[in-house]
Amino acid sequence: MKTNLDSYIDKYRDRLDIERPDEERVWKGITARMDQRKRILPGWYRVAASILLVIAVGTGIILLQRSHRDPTAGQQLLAGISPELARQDSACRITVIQKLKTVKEAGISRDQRQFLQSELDRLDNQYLEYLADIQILGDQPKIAGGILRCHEKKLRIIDKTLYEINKTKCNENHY
Amino acid sequence: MGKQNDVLASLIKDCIAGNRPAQYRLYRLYSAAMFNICMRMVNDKTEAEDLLQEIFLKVFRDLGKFRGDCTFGVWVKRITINQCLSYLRKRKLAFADLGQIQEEGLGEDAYEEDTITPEMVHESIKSLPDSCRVIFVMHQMEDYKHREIAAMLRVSESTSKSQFQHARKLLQADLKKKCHENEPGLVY
Repeated sequence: MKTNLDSYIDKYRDRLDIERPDEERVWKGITARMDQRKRILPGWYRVAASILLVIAVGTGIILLQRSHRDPTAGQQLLAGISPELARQDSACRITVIQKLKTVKEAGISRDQRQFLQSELDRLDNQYLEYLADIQILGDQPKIAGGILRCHEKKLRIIDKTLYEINKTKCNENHY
Repeated sequence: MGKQNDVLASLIKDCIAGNRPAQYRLYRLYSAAMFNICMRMVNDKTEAEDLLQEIFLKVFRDLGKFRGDCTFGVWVKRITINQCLSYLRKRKLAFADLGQIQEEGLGEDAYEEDTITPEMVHESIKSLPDSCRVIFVMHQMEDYKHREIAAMLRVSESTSKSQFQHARKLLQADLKKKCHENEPGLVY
């Protein structure tokens, strides 16, 4: 089939992007410059941030359910790609929320809460990466597995935290 | 498409909050496309990588200003083109008016689609002289109108059009040559 240059470029525009940068080197440079920018924040900004942190901890704000604050966008995306995966994702979320309620009722300490929060945040970020991957690459077993593994890991960490809380309580009762 | 936009909006929100994995995700989503624009504009891998770094620093710095009046990809592309043009201005790239503008059209330079490849076209574009390559990339590949190109490059619209036509002629000649080189040899 004959084509002319204009039509060819229009038709194959995406395939013309054949070059690849040294992505890791470029990313290292970006993060180094961003970190540099952070370090030269004015002193008053750091003081304000510290005050806010003290207020948040002092009033005992529990952020354990951050990862489930706004799940709808991700769930809608998954439903559009794989209804079965969306169903499993939703079931896992519900289990995680229920377990988090149990942790809250069990009386989690501040240190345990901070650790649990950071682990849940880390897994949320992984989850987000998998969502972005599935959006681009479609329903692939590895990506679907990754999404569900994020929930499984959350449940394991929550179970471990519950175990630690109960263990501490047992020791206190014993002594 | 709406769901994709929601996920992207969520990703952007996390990037604005300084979430490093989200920023890395956004970078990976757009880095290849923007790098290729840089390569076609500046034709130097090291410079294109340095520009890519500047582009994403600006993207992350100005992310809060993105209002959604265009798609996010178009917004990032505008930053990319502007960074490339800044670099080219420092190199004092000149754009001469090449005179008479010929009619753009179909016809005599048609190719069999399977005799040219995207790699051939990409390499041919890179082999163009700097000034007409930049205008060709901006108009043909990135959909800038000649009026816009003229304003951005501080040249006349006729200069933009004549440089573009010059690029097309050179490309067509180069691709024709490559097509003939790829033809199976005659047996005598």
